[in-house]
Amino acid sequence: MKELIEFIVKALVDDPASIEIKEVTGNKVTIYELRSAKDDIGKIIGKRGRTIGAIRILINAVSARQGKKTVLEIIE
Amino acid sequence: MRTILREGKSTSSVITSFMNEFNLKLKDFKFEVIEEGSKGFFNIFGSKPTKIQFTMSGISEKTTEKINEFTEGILKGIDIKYSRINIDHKDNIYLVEIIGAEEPGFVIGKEARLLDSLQHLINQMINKYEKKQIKIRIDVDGYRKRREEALIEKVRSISGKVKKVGKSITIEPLNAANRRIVHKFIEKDKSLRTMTLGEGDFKRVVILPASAVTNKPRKQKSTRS
Repeated sequence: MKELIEFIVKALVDDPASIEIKEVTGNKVTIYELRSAKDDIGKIIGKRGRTIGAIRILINAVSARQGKKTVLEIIE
Repeated sequence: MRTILREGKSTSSVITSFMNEFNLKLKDFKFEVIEEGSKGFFNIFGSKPTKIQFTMSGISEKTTEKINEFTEGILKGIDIKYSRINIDHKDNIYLVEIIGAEEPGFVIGKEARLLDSLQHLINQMINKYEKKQIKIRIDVDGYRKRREEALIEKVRSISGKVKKVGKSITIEPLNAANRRIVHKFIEKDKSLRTMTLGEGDFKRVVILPASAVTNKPRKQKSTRS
């Protein structure tokens, strides 16, 4: 899952090197904390949050199939 | 432009395998037969392969490769098995078709939400990579085509009703792509007009007789979605 998020996000930003994803595994929910260069946050979120929404739909669908719960957060 | 040399048994087999190798259509490249092959005696002695030189514009080939890479990468990430990806393009519009998906229902998602998300992401990814504007449509085993045909069929019967009764009919909320299909279809019929009602996720298309629009100019006519 982490690789998938990384693959997508790195293709969207100007500065792929500063993308950092931290996986926090909880009891029921796995949280992915996404950090990026300041100027790239807007590109990840997209117009009206469309891009981050699409990423969330994707990872929610995948984790639901595996019977898991996943949360993706952008950390500023 | 890029040139590639390939050889094989016959002209047609070289061309076919070249097209399969790079996922191209006949119109995407030019070719020149450098050397006509010969079979020789009994196909054994002195047989020569056919040599063909292919020329194609680097842009579309590179773009296609990149789209393929993004699509494959995401599909691998969501763990979907499929037989192949077919990429076709007309100007800047690329049609990416996932063929032989193992769980098409999953890739499409409820109301095509997953497929639309996939499409949006690959659009964003490729447009970050390419300088020129590119539009990508993703389809899974002809799903979008079938849906589009079904939608047009529905609109056809509704527009028949509008004409018969002479009153406007409002269709259920649709997303932008589907509203566009409706607008485009109705546009062909001079006796009908369309407009859009509502905001955000609840935009609906209204089909109304052309006469109703001229009678009530205060109604804002909009053909854009």
